[in-house]
Amino acid sequence: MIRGDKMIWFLVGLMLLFNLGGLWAQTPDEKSCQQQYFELAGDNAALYRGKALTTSYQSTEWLSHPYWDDEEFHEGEVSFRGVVYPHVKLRYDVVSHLVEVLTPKRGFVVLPDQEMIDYFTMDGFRFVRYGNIFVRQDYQGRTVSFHRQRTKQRTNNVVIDKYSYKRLKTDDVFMLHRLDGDFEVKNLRSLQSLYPEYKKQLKRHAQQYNLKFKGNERGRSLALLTVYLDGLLPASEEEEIVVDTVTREVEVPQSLMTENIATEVPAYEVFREGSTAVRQRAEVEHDEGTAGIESLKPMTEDKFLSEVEVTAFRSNVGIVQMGVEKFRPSELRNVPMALGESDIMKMVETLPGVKTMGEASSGFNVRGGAADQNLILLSGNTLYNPMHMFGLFSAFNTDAINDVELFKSSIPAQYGGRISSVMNMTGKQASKQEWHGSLSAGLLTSKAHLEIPLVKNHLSLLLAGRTTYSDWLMKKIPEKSEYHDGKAGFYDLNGTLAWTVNERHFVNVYAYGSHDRFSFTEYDKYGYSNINGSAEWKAYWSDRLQSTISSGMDHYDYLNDEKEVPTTAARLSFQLQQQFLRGLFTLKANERNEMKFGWNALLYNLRPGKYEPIGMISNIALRELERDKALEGALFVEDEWEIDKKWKLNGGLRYSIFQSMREGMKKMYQAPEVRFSTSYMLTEDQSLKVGFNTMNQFIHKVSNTVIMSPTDTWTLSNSRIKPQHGWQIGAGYNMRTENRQLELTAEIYYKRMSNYLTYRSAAQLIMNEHLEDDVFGAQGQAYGLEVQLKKPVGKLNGWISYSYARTFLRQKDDSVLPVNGGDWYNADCDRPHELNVVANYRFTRRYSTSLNLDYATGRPTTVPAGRYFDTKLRSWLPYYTERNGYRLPDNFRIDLSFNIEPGHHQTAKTHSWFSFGVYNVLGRHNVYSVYYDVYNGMIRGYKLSIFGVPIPFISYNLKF
Amino acid sequence: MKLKLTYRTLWTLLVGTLLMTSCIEDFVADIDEKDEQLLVVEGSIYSNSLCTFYLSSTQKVGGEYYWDDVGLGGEYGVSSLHAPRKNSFNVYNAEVSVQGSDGTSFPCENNPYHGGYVGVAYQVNVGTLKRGVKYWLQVKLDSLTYESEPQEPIFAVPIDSLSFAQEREDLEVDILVSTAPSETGEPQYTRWEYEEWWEIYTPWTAFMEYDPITDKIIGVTAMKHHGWANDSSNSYILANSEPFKDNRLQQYRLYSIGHTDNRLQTCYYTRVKEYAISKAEYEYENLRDRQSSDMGGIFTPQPSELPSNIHCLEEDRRAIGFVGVRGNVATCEMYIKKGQVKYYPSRTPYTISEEQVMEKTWNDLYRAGYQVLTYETYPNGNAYVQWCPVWCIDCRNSFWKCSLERPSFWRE
Repeated sequence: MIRGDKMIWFLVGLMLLFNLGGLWAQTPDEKSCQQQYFELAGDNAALYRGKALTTSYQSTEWLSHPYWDDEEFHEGEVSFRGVVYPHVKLRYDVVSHLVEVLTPKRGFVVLPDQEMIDYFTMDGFRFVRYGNIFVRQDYQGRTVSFHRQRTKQRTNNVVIDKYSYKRLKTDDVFMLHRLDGDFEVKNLRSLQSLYPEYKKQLKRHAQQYNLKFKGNERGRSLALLTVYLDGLLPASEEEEIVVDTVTREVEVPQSLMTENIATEVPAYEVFREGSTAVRQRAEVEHDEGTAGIESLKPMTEDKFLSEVEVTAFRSNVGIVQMGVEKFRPSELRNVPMALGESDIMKMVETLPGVKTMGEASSGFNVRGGAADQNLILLSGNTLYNPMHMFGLFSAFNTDAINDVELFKSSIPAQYGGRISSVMNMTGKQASKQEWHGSLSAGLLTSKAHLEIPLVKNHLSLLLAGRTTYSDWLMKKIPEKSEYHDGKAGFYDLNGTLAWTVNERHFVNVYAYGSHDRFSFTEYDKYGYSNINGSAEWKAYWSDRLQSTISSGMDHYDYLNDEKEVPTTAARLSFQLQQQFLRGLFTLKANERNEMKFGWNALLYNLRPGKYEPIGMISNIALRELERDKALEGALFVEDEWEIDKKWKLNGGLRYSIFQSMREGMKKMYQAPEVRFSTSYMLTEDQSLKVGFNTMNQFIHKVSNTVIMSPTDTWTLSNSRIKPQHGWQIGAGYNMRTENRQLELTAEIYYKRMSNYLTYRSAAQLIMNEHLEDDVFGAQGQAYGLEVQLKKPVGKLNGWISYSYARTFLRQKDDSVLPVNGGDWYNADCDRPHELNVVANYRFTRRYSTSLNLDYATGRPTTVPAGRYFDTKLRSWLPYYTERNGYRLPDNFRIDLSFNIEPGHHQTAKTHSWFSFGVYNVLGRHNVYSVYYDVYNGMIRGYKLSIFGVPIPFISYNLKF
Repeated sequence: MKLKLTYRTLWTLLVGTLLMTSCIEDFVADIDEKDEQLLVVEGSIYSNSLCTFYLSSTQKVGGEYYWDDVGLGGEYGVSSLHAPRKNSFNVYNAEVSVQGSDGTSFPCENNPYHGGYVGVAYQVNVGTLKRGVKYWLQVKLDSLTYESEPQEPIFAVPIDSLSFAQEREDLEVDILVSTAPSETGEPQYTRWEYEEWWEIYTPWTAFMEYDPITDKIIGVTAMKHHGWANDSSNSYILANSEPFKDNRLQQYRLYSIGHTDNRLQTCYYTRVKEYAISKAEYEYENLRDRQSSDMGGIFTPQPSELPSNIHCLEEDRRAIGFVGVRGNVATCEMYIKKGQVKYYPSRTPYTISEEQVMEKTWNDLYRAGYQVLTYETYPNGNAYVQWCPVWCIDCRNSFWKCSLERPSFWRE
């Protein structure tokens, strides 16, 4: 305990030291840095992080356009958040009064945050803010200035050659601005009324220069008169000149301007004219990638939005890491899923190297690892049971998640504690400008989310919830069944409070809760819950240094009530809690070198089991297993170094310390962990990679079921249960075609695991005070080949992945009868061949179809080797073969879906879409499990298929 | 845990039945023959009791032997005693003995006429087992020697009380047991058996009966309306005192009797036996029970080989069985009399109509399962005969399964 406290304070001290270091950071050359930044940031600069825009003004329907002068983009500069962006292509919409800019690299039309624009220039004119709009500053004098305010409004349609055209009428208003206010001027007379003392001079000047005040000449004439007037005014008024906005030529941190360019991709929103119009979120990958918005063209039909095709999978060619997958939940929309529910976990399961025990099973296995060897993070919080309803649904609401990263091999040094993979999900933040929301209804579940801007541009709140209404299904069971009174249901809630303190500091608070409950009769009840909460402070100390400090709590519990016999009615419960404090610092030493370092501290608090009586007459004694506590800490440093244009290197070191605090079994473990990967670009579109990493795991799931079940318990390492340790080496080849339409990734790996926790025969895993006697550490090895071919863009897009993977375990423990005689045996997740195809074909912008194909070798299983007769029971009983000596039949499934995007009418305030299709269209009886029954002396095996027939599904989604 | 059963049930019900999407088909695994013909030993070593060990061998999963092949025939699947058939899975030629660490040896005798099920019985009386001495079973078969793990006798704590409870009138009656605390305070692992007798009165009493031999109605040769039936436990009842206060079983439900069960009709008697077993044996029995009731489901614990305590000395060959050593048996008995619990007869007695009687001959009625309830003759020569199902008047009927012999211990 003492050691643990000391370690915490040591880490806190380090954190403070690092923060001070950030304050001392220097900026050697502001201007050059800024230019470098603009070149580097490109489309990802803060100015371009806005809504992607498409127009609804079609030349075939309209006689005019909504822009200041013409539809073309004009080069100018924009002062955005005090930073002047030079050479910006822009135009000004005077119907909506919005400044539109063209991204420099890809040429997307983007709507920057209008509130952040100080001024802009276009065609040599300066446009300045005038309330909520911009006006053109035609003249800025000593005492007065002259502005032109232009608006356009819809007028009656015009019929030309039997075709009806719409048109806009342009209104220009001219304003003279002086110390005591703004005054509209229309002609000579209005100016004279403002300055009667110069009445004659003004008239003379107008006559001298033949100034006209009608039509197109009015503006020019008024401007010339204003210039003349300014010269007439006494010099004493010079001090009172209204000065325009002074541009601050200051350096802004790159990280702030790009807002996490390295880890986040900018989000654009397609946005039709008018602020209440329909929106559709689309994603564009950042520079590393090749694909993104395939087309962002004006729509072909008036009144309707054009389609934006999204493929945000990041290209793997240019990155140094191996075995990394990143995607956004929005991609799931078109992938057919059972019961029509978009599901992150199901999406992950289609990736190479990720396997499951069945098509509706809980948990997943990455490259031969067990389900508990995956660290699942949601906004930094650890989820110990990420599934609802035993795996039918994942516990994540896609509306509340921004993006997903899965690290299978090159795991960044900032992550640790699991030996197979890290799945990191970043919570979505609500818009700070506008209200948004969505509703979705499926066969079994419904979900909704709401984005609330509490304080515009500063504080927002995202709320998301999902629930099921499956109780009615249980009622469909015949009354004579003992399960007629059963109940089953779940819900999950997400909340994200995002606070922009200022330009450099951001605070986010995340909360997550989920609960599952089910009962089969009135006498039993099962339930489990996840509760997570954390706060995160992001600070951008300079363009080179940023920090993220987060702290929070994770909680998981389950309970099982059994009340059938009142005298033995009891509740079994388990609880796991952990508090964490993390620090992550990113230091960009130079253009080619980025370093990350920090710490991670975890305090575990387990209640391994509590058995307590229910009711007054229960004779069950209250029994609680001794609480278990432990402290896990880690310091890490990682550096990504671009040695030259072809060669990149990423090296990391993580030093983990674990201190068990359990009385009588205290033990400290400490070990370094190595993370290394390097890539070499053979050509611009081909790369080779090599990676190696080691991992340690100090918390272990204790289970004897094939997949994660609600009553799985977790235990901590101690003097008798050693930490799990794993290392993995791999190599990969990445290639993409020149036009970046196709990308191929191939990786091979070899992995070793030790102290892989498994159980001995007849082990008692629940309420066992001496659990360490019933479990043992096995050795594991896995190797395989993964190939993925992606087509991220085009009418036909998707990917094909194939993996050959083997996983074996071996029990080397002389103290117990070893499983299978101590030989290597197939792990539960050993499924050598797996093929996945996910394809989407777009017929038109509104209609598309998707296909999901899945083939996998059957999983290993243990089957009865024979039977023997028990004279006491008077029945035949089975006895079993060696563990996992046989296999279930192979799985093969095809799913199809059809997606309709209804028309996006101009006046519509909501956006909705349908998706319908068929899951398992072939109706193949894929084996979910095999079980055996003894009937009439015969042992008969049965194959259970969960989705044994084609299952139609439909889902309706609404967004506003 | 009940959980094991309910997981699979949930899937079948929720996802399968409700959505009508799941399906269940036969599955046959191609099993290697290397694991066949294993020795199976049943039985334990009892102090002061006749120890019986049944020896047999395993057979294929899809073996074609049915109840009749193993000697389980008859109306209820329980045959009368007779010798097991000569077949491939009974072991006749073994040398079986109980060995003691003090050098004692008790050879067993082959008793092929004991039992009647699969397995050849080998019996021996080992007398009083001594504390501190380890005992084990030795089987010599086909030049191989199998031995069980040596173990000292384990002694059961006394039974503190035996009681019953019926929470509601329409619920079953629970038989509850409490044990004394153990001397060591350690958890007790126990195995329970019971023998039960119950008294039956048929709904009606008949004084006449139809004699199919003479085709006449005659006076009864014996009163058949009153009798006693008996049975014994046919499952392994295991208990673990660990969850209970003071490490002793308290009001632990051994078994239940349905509120319409005939056993509660008049008077019910049970004699409970308690044997102490080791934790290893408890786990073995539990695992066997678990694997036999629910096998291979994705949510159920992974099946694994039984942790047998019988090993072959010469080869790495598996054997199945767990031979325990029992130092004593603790017993307790209890009566449940009419009125102490609520009993609802499952059948209502009835007589058949006169029309039915007239349509058939007496012999036809007899063969259809009826017997005479009343027979009255009138002075004019006419007779009135009332027939009813046999079970209404004869407690020896299969519905009651009674014998007319009163148990010697039975008290009023």
